[in-house]
Amino acid sequence: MSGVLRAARANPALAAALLLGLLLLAVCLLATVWTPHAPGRINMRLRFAPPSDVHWLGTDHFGRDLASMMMRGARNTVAIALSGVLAGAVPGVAVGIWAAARQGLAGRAVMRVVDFLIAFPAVLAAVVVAAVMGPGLGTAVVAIAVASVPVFARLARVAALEVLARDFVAASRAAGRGEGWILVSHVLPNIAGLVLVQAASQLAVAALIEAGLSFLGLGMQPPEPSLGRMLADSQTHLSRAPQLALYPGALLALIVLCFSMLGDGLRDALDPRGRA
Amino acid sequence: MQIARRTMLLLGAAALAAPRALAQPRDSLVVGNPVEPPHLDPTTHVAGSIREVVYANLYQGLTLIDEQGQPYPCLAERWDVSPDNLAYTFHLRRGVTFHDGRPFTSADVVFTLDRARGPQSTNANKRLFETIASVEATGPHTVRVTLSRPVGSFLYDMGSADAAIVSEATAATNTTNPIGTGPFRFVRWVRGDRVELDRYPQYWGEAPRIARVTFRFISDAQAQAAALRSGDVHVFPTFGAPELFEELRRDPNFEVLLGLTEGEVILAMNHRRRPLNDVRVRRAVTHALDRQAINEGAVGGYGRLIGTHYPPHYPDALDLTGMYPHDVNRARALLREAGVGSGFQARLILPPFPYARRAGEIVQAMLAEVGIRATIQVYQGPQWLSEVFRPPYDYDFTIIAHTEPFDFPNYARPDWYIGWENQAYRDLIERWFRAVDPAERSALAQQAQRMLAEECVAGFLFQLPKTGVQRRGLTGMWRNSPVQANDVTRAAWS
Amino acid sequence: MLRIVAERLLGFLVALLATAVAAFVLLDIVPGDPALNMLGTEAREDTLAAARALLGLDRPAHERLLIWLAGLPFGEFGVSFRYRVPIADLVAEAAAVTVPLAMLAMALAVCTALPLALVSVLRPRGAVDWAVGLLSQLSLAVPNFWLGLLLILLFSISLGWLPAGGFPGWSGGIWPALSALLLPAVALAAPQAGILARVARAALLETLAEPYIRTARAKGLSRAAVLFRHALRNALPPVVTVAGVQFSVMLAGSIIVENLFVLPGLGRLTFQAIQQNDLILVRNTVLLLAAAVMLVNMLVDIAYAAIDPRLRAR
Repeated sequence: MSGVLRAARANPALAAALLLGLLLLAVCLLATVWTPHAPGRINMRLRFAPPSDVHWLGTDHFGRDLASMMMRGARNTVAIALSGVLAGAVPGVAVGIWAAARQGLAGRAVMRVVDFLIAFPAVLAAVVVAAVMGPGLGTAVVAIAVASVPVFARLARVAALEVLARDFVAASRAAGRGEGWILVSHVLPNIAGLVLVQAASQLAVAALIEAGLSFLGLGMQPPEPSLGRMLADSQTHLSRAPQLALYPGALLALIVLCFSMLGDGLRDALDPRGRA
Repeated sequence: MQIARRTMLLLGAAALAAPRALAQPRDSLVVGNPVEPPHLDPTTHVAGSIREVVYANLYQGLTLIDEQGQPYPCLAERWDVSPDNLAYTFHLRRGVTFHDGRPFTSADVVFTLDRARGPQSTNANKRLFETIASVEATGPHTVRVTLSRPVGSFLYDMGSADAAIVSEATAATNTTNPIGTGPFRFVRWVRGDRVELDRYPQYWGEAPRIARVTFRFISDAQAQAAALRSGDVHVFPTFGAPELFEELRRDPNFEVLLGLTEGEVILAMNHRRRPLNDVRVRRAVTHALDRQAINEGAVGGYGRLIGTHYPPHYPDALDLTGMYPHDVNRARALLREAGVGSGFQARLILPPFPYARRAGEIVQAMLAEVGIRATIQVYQGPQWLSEVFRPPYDYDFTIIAHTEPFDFPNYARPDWYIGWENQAYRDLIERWFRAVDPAERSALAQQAQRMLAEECVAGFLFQLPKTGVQRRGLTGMWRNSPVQANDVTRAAWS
Repeated sequence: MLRIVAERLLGFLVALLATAVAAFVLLDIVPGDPALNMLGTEAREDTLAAARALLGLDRPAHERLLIWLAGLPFGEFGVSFRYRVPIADLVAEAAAVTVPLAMLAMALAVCTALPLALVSVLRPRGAVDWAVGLLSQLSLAVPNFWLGLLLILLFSISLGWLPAGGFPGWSGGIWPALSALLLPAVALAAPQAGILARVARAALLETLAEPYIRTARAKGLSRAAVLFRHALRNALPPVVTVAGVQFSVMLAGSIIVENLFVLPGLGRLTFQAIQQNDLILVRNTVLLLAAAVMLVNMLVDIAYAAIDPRLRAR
């Protein structure tokens, strides 16, 4: 932790990303317990209300409070992205380490599949997942996990290979330690940092997938607000109420930006040589 | 924030910029439809988007339905009906040719009806042909159709798009190269964009004033408005977004045609399930619904509220909207009475149509007010159909517009998705089916309307509006939509 | 070298077959009966059975899989459930929208990314470099459908210069078709330009650090002259590689943008087919897009092997 703080002092972009991330996290946590108005509350007499003291950013085509919906939508996006990345990282890292330990045909074949999956466009895969599972929260999480597994598998394999080649691993082997013990005690702790950095970057991708699925109507269903669906709904009202497209989109971009800056900054902090 | 506000002001000002005057076309017409048809054969597919292109324009039936919803003679010039109302002898129009040049004869009628009721039939409304016992050509231009029992709506049924007369030679290829007897013939289909029809020079009847009609398919509401303003499209018989409709209404270049369709939008409730099989719970649901708010949110308030399953613009329609008005307290009391005072969980399954999704979100919020916690699931079309309309009817609520004319008898069907068990209603409908006298039919239909409303068989919401927008100077387009169609045979520029 | 080509080709074919089988199995379990879509709410058992027979759905799954696989090498993909026309025709029509769209987007991405990378390496860590870095960071964070909405707002609704959506077809002339593709191409190109600018910048910096560049500089050539005469050409291979992969990703990844702009391309065809349960069409478009991605990867692999002898040893 103190290392991260030191790195943040040296790297203003990382500091900004951390600050922004904390702010967004606070908003998301707050949205779980409190929003200015109930986010799903429909009021037909207040459609397309302009910003005011009561409705900070105005209301949408059903008279719902835009600020409250954005807060809850942001929370949903972040929560889904986190669960999806976690659900992809665990099996991904396991596969990568396994492939590193087993260099034979099986390991090579698995990595070929991984290579193919990485190249496979995430949105297309997500739409196929949605076709099979039907729209909903689970679909978004699974789609993100499917896109994340190969990314973590490749990273974990490369990092694990490097660790396995080090002297202390050879020493452990000579001392008669089993392969499983080495993987858990040496490899896992040594690649954890890299995995975390990758997770931060992957969260940016995950947020984009979640929003994209919601935009197509395949993600989280009403009445839970979702930034992607808000943007899709706004398309009809663009000429009358452009703010319905502007604000939720800006918030979404901010979330993605925060995650990707966090990933870049942490990568630099972890490996100063990588900085150009 | 400051920048965003300034941008919005700029955008707002641009949107209100003075409309341009548009040059008027002479004998061409571009009609905008929201949905592209899957193919162009209405006798093998249910899609309304097919009918909105080909009905009356390209294909014709023995009869056709006019703007008032009345059947009129078309390929059958006249007919004789036997005293027992079982045998119809149709005298066919002479000198009629299909667009491929083949003459139209009684053999085509026999083929069409036998194909629709035969074992290989994939007609979406095969039940319309079920009561036909036999079809025989009694001459090159006379056909006798014998029914197994009297059917009051038979001449109306023969005017539906499902009964469009097709030739045996082209029946298999009508999907992509449709051949009919109507005043317009098929020219080409640019997939993803438009279908073009030309005036058929050998048409048997009065030639239409329009020489070429193009149907363009534009689903997005902003794009629809832009196409109208740029003059790319002359008329949208059903314009997509009610919010933009207001803007166009103020534009002097355009004229709006506000009418109604045959579509009763209902919140269907599954009577096969507890607690919705309890009439008190269904009444509570009806009390929970603020129909005006749903109408506004779903279709901009252009629909007409309904209190039963019957088009409110028909002369024998009853206004029963006041029977169970919006009353949250009454709804809660009824739920308590029924033993579900703490509310219950339910699944609201929605089709992907915009009106249903919008109405669904509002209905969900209103049900939540009285303690009914409905989770929304939006399904793609086929999955929605198979979950809701096929056994085991796995749904609690759904929202649907029943667009077929005279479809209130469906509630009597034991195999229908609603699952309403009521013998009195079934007897009533049986009498209506057999009744031929208009006054008697009317009285029976009114009795049916009352029963449906009293029992709250479904949550009756509103009649789906027809919100047409057209360039000023265009005449002859339909205001109402008694059948799913865009009949342009009488369209003209003044 | 020949061995590598043969090996990659074999791998490509195996992957293609595996994808085909996976797509078939996954999509065959999707709920919903395509015959119901033809017949609607009034469907009956007899009409449904007739419709299923018409669509070939009365055969067991393994038979349908074999028939499909056997037809693939001959370009016989089957007949769409919904449109009742050969899938090859539908795909060809849609590709006539998506391929030009991806090409246009690619051109836009390259034409913005390369100049930006060049000006940013003129003075690394300078103000321009910093601004370009921020811009590329931003372009990656902005969801392309939001960018698309903003473009519609500005260029279609406010200014009225370009259509908000739809595609008039190529028969009506080049300009109307191109103008319909312009905004979606910009939306599609922005994040790719961001990636490409980063890659190009890194490649240029690496090349500039090479000894021969230092020699050229020592001979008195200006930094800009060195950049254009020597560095650019040598930095191109990684840029071209990334661009190739991006092109195949754009072909497949245009689902959202095509939906936003209502373009009848491959992405929208796939999405609508999913909505309509036209699963025979979905599995074919998915296979086709996957094949495009795999093909590009294979070519990149082979090209690398040809350039770099060390890779051949692996």
